[in-house]
Amino acid sequence: MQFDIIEKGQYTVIQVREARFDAKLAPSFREELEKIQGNIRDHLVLDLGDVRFMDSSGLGAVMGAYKMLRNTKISIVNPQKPILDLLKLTRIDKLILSHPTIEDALAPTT
Amino acid sequence: MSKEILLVEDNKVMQLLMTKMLSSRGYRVISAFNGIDALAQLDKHPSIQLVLSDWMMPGLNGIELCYRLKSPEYGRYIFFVLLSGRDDKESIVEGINAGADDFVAKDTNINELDARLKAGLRNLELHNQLITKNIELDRAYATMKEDLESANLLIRRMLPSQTSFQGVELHYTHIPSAQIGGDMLGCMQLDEDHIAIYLFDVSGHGVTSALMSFAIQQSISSNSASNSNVKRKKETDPFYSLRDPSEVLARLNRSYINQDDNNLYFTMVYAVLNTKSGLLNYAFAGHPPMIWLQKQQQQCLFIQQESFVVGMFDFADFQTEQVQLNCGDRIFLYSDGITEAESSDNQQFSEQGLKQLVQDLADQPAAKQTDTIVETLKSWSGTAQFNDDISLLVFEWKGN
Repeated sequence: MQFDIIEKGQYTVIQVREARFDAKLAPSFREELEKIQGNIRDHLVLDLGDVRFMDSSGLGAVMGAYKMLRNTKISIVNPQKPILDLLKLTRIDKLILSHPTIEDALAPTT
Repeated sequence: MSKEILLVEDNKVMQLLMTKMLSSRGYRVISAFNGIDALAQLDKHPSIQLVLSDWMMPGLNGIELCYRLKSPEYGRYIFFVLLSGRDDKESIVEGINAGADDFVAKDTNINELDARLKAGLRNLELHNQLITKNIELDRAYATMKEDLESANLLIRRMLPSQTSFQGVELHYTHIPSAQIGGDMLGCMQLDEDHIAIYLFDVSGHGVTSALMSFAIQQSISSNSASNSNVKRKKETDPFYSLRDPSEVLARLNRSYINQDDNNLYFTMVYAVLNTKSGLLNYAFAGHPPMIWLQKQQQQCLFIQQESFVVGMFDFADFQTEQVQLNCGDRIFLYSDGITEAESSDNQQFSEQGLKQLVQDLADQPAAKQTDTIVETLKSWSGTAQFNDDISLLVFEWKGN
């Protein structure tokens, strides 16, 4: 099981169920995303809690998601430190906000 | 495939009878009197793959013949059918152990015999197709491997050949992963007082990344004054000015912004060193930090910038910053293949680890230092063949 997808009204959650988000996983992530693209309404939540390592292809897939869903809010949930560092290094943290839990991600922005 | 069969039978009458029967069903029958004779016949007729053999024969019997033909040393794939009056379990086990593919009792009627032999022929047909496909695959693989190797050579030729400049010594290591990869590095004299030093890493591996890295290297190094990514034309003497590192990255970003959705991009650090003053201007694009080894202070610092990658976002902007080097200072540029190399227990080498190593090896001359870093990395990851491209470039400012 690589991904769990939960579609709940206004928001969609993709849980990445792999320790490595790399060149092997990136193409199927893209495929999944393309499949559900039409159903995503206001908010896409990427749960990366299980991901221990993300390489350039994994990062490419996340940036690709941002480009594919230009008008959709995207949040990342529960990123481990190496992932957070990578998002920061490449300034993706400015485009996609990270939150410790799904509840935090879904809370109305203040 | 032709219905060729070798019939091995010591009883002359039986042999004649069966030959007639099989011929009437369209088989081309070659016959032999015993196992030894059978081996000779197979040598004489290299296309035969179907053997129908009696069990009890003088010289070499059916079981022994079967062992010979099914041994890995026998260079031909044979479908072996044992013919016997015996169909007790023990004999069949013996036959199976010898590698026989089927068993037919001597009194079996021709319809069943024909059906079983046809099944054997189908099996052979499949096997032969598989072998042919495998040979084709091997050939295709060999061609691809050759292509990759020559592509690798081409990439190698794009690496800098000049490593010694006025006031600057440069050393580098570039090891592509098993496949061809997307790492590239370079340096070039921009004018009398400036050299550009850079390193970039195209996402992913393989031919796509390599082709892109090839193109990027051209975009940077092609120095035709009219359309250079590193210099700007000017109307007054000296008729050019150097582009800021951030401007170089912005131009590359515009050129390589990805239109199709292949998510291909690259990270980069581009730096310009004033070889007279030691002033280093640089800009990052999502690339890991440089390491600054300060000779006098005997310490290592990271030089880093948070910045977008190149080729992904049309709105990306980049910044030029600068540091003042002192005589004998060294700067290390590298790709994440080094810091993300993993030991057998999944520990990454890490940026901190690299910085510490650079510090520990501070007394070594720069050339030796890069070699030692790569050697250390190899023993850390327990392999000589890395999963990702490894590139490392160090330059030392010798002062004016």
